[in-house]
Amino acid sequence: MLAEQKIDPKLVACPECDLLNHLPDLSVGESANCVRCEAVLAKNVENAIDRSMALTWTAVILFAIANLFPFLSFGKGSIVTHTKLISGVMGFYQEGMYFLSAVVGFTTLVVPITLITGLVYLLLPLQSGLRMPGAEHVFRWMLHIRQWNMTEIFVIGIVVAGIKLYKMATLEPGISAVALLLLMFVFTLISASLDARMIFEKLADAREVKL
Amino acid sequence: MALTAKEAGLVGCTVCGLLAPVAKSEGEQHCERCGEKLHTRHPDSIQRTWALLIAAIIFYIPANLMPITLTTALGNTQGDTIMEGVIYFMYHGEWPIGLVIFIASIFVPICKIAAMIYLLISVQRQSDQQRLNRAKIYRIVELVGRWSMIDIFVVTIMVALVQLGFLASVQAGSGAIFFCAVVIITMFAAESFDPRLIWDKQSNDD
Repeated sequence: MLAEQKIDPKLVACPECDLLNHLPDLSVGESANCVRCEAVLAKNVENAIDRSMALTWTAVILFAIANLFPFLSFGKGSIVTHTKLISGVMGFYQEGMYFLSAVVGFTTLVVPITLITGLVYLLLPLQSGLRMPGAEHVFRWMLHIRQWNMTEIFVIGIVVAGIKLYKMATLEPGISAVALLLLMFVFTLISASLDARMIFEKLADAREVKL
Repeated sequence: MALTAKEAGLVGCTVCGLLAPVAKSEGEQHCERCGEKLHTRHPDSIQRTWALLIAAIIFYIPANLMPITLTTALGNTQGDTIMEGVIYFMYHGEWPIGLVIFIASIFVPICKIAAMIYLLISVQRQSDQQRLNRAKIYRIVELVGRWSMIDIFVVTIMVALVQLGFLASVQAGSGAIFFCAVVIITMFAAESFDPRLIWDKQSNDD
């Protein structure tokens, strides 16, 4: 049985079909796929840590702008409503729609904030070969919740709502709409530049910071 | 040699990829590197996924029959279901919006539920047909399902934005709650399904 021997570190079980694959040495820009089900097993992104960290700082700024300013303003004459990210959560809450309020709050505020904070906690020390306490657990939870980050879907929601409403009254997009649109791309780029396996390997090699 | 981890007496962490020998003792096994619970296959994957899917199908009915928005204009309140919204936009020449809402709110959820049922039944029948295609279908379901939230976010923005007092105001209807629940439940259903089951019990000549 293989289990009795020392497990080859280059051996990996495909997370989607369980086949044991031998990971080849990847040069920059290459990725390895499962030979049976074609799932991505690993990828080698150039300067993955520095690149992700730079993208994360961009996300911090964009997310702050997106929350501080309205993304749409709508109204007729003297009655004008400005909507921020938090407005929908508040609106549902005041109507007694607590479930919708919680879901929208979770997917557009709590999860993005958690992911961005987690990325800083993870990547900033990793840039100098260090690791914060519990970093691997933080990263594991980030991987579990990332599908609940719905920023990009919210952006499309803004576009659809905008087209629905522009005939009814004056509709103006705010600076936050631009920030959200850029944030959508930044999140996609972060996902593309972070390989879970690579991060866990770097974390294992890093020196733990004693607090 | 093509061996699976299970056949080799190993278990792969689905989060960080580390391989470990399957523990001989009873009880939970955790990944040494990242702390994730290790399972050769997700426990009760088929039953859990069926239960969630059936719940989603039940919730999908009121989600479509009850209004997802209540629009009040000049004192009159009108409720609109998802389909009424789609028809309204098709009828008023805004067909791209009608199409987006139709795809996100009707086409995607129905296809997703149908695809999950197909995956479950084919796994239960231990089918060895179309494995690669089924694996791809699962990947698409996982990727696309969350986009059904578009309509909920549109309602969110409308509720926050259209507050012109007597002129017009928008509220969320109870259909929105059920629809939102459908999206969330189907996301959990996709997560509880273990795609490794598609490849299990392969015939010997493979």
